[in-house]
Amino acid sequence: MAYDLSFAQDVYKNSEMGHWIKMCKQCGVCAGSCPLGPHWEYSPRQLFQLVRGGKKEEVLKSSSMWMCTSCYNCIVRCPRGLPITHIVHGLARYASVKGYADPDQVTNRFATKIFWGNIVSTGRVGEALLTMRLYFVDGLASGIKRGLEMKDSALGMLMTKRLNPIPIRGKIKGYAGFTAMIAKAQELEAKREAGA
Amino acid sequence: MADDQAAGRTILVVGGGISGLTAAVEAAEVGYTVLLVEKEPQLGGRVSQHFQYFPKLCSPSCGLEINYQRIKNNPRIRVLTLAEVEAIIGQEGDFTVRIRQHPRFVTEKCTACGECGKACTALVSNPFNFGMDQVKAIRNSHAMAYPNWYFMDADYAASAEARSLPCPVGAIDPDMTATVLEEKVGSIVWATGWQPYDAEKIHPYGFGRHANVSTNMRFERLANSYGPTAGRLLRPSDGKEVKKIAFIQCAGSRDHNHLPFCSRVCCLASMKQATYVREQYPDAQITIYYIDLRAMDRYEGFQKKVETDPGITWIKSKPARIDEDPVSKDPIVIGENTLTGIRYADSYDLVVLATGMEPTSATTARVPGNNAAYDEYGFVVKGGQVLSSGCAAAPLDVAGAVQASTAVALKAIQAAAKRG
Amino acid sequence: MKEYTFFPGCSSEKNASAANMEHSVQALCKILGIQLNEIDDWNCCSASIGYAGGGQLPRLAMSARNFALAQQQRGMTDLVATCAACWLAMRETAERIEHEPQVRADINIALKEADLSYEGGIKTRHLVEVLIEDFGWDALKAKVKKPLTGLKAAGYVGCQTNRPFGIAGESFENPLYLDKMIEATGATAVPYAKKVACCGGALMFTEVEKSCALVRDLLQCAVDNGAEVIVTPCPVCQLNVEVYQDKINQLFGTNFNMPVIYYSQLFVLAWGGSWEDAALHQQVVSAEALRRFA
Repeated sequence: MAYDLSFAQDVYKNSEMGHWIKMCKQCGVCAGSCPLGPHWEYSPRQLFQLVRGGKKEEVLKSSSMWMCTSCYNCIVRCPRGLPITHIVHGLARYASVKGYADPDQVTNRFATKIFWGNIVSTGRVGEALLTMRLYFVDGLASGIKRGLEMKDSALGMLMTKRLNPIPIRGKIKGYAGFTAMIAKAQELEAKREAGA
Repeated sequence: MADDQAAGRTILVVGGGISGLTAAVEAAEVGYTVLLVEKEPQLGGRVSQHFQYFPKLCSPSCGLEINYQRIKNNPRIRVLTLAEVEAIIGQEGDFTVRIRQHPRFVTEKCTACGECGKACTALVSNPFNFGMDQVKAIRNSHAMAYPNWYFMDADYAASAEARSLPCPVGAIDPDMTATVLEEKVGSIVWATGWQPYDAEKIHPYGFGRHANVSTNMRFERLANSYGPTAGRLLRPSDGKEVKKIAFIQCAGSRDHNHLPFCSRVCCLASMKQATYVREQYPDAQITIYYIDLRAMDRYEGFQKKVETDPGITWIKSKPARIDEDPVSKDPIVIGENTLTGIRYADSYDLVVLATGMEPTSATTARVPGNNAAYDEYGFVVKGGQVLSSGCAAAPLDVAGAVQASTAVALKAIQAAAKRG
Repeated sequence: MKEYTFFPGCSSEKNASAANMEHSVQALCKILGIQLNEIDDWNCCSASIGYAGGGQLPRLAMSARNFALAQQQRGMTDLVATCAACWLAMRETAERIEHEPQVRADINIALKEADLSYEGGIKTRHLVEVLIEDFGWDALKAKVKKPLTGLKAAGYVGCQTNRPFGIAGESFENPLYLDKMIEATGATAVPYAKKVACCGGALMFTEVEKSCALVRDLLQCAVDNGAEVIVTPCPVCQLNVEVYQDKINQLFGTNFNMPVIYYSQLFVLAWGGSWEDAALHQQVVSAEALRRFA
């Protein structure tokens, strides 16, 4: 049972919206309001208490933050007005950046690598490529299996012209500036996240 | 000059609940003239709707009865019912107030013999019981009503039947109209009290949609032998005895979406109501969902006493929502037990929402003009022309309201003596 | 003709998942007299899961670039979004630019790399808000040529058009605008308990079974209350609830075959537009139940 006494202070300062964690009154309404509530290892309320208690590993290695569907129900129900969705997103990002999050956790892998990589490679989402990369993330065999399981739906999407048969898309015109902007934002973000 | 002196010795008390009654009798009994204005047809306010007080579990009727006797025997108190203050002009020591008195359609000659009520065929939703039953359109609001003098609903007064009702003393007057009075007073006590927070606004709890989700004030009426079920604790959907019941604390309280403050009485009220259930059904199971239990100051002893009851389960949790079983109509309370981290979905015969106190001064009983200072929740606080007392000033239990109102009576006397 | 700056978002592109929404939105705008001026060279809003790879600033910078381009091209004209996630991301970015000076400053440092700047001020609106506020219920009803009398529709508001911002004037727990839109076409809005429930959002990609269970409950609730069609304003809801029905039937042994369409498709049909104008030929679960009104 390790306690990291600097953990809470660091989260308050450097995790997005982390300072709000101080305000939680432990009522539990967030847990019951979450659509995937029963699947969280720790409810948002528990995460916040663990942060306050310095339980760094328990928080950051947990899969909990990756269960957020971004439905924002917890935000509107929270009696203290904590931006819970954003706090949880912040903790997920924090866990990922600090290297604690399991790289094979499906949502971490998808959100951090595949999705972000997809949008910054052209400036826009390439849905077809995104889906393919997701299916084939564990290799060819499981990719084909996943693809086959969804083949009727995918065919339906193709037939109704809601899926691009060619999974390649061009870059936006201002891609050079876009990339430079993202690079600069990432540079500032890294400084902020390091507590600078 | 003579008028000015009279004004300086007259205190206007707005609101005839326990706070207004207390301020009125305390001021009058030391020699001041009091004008007591009540919006409803009869006095007593919220307290008259209660079954029992905590912590002694006695009926509020004796306390009200004593105050009514004090009013009856004191010629310095004038009571206006069905009356509202429309305007306040002037300042401490020299106010002119305009009061509108709505028609009662029954004159002071009424002896409350009840002949008219027997003949009346019109039934209306009973506001005294929060619409849980029906009453005659001409009546007293409840058995202990003071003044003991019938009134008639305005819609009914316009009907043909209202003109043909029997009355041995000729007190019925369907043609009565509103009157407007101007009075000179030296000081004003605003004691307009509270209303239960509208439980329908707490949408996830389903009040108004789920038949067996009730509120603490409704539960007081259910427990009362003059209530809609003659005091038996029966659930609304099917009249079944309430054997498995949940109380939800802070329902619409301490919540920035609703009342942001703590009303200070709801925890104790639920503990008290748990004793009503226990009294009727010794085998009943009671669950109280709470964020923190707040038995303010000297009431901790009452909490300790109730906590010894093995039939009560205490769950530290603010429930997220209440579903309804479509067949049994059982409410299902859903949330996270914050001591164990376990999610629950528990069904009950009845759920009681422990809703808080919304000051009526924030909504239906604003002080006319710019004569009051309010806090961020709408309670009337120091800084304006009027004094405030009881739950118009802050959420209070009955004993606290009586204490505060006794103190305000003295302030009102001092203020009335000021010269403008 | 009313003009607005327009941010369609990635799912509204050609051959993308909400192409049916985009097609019907354009038809709807043509009938009402709305000109949507698309931001030239817009980029992704970073969607609901951009937080993980993007963090705070890169994520917000993406929407800021769209604002900056909008201002450059169209001045301070109201910016309209049709996608729930885009609208939410733009609203969030606008709010943080307005209230957090540090965020505003950092965003502009990043934007400068693309020779852009943005200090805030453009109002972001959902097309639903434009319909309600700038046209009004009477105008929407007046356009009806083929009232959808007898059609029982479940209005599925979902999450991101509803929380944390919500359509102006609506409650989070029981928003009424979508039911009113359904009623405005002459159809009947069936009451059901799941109108603001979650479809799983982007987690449909990764937590498929958990998300499918959410959608199953939603579909069952709509079926139990007699709905023939589900109507939604959100492309994520539309996709998850429509396209995953096969998967849900496989997983849970159910037999759902529920058309899921956009409010824009419903309006276009009721306003006399063709089946193709309403993009009803672009449904994966056939919307034949609506053919009687075409």
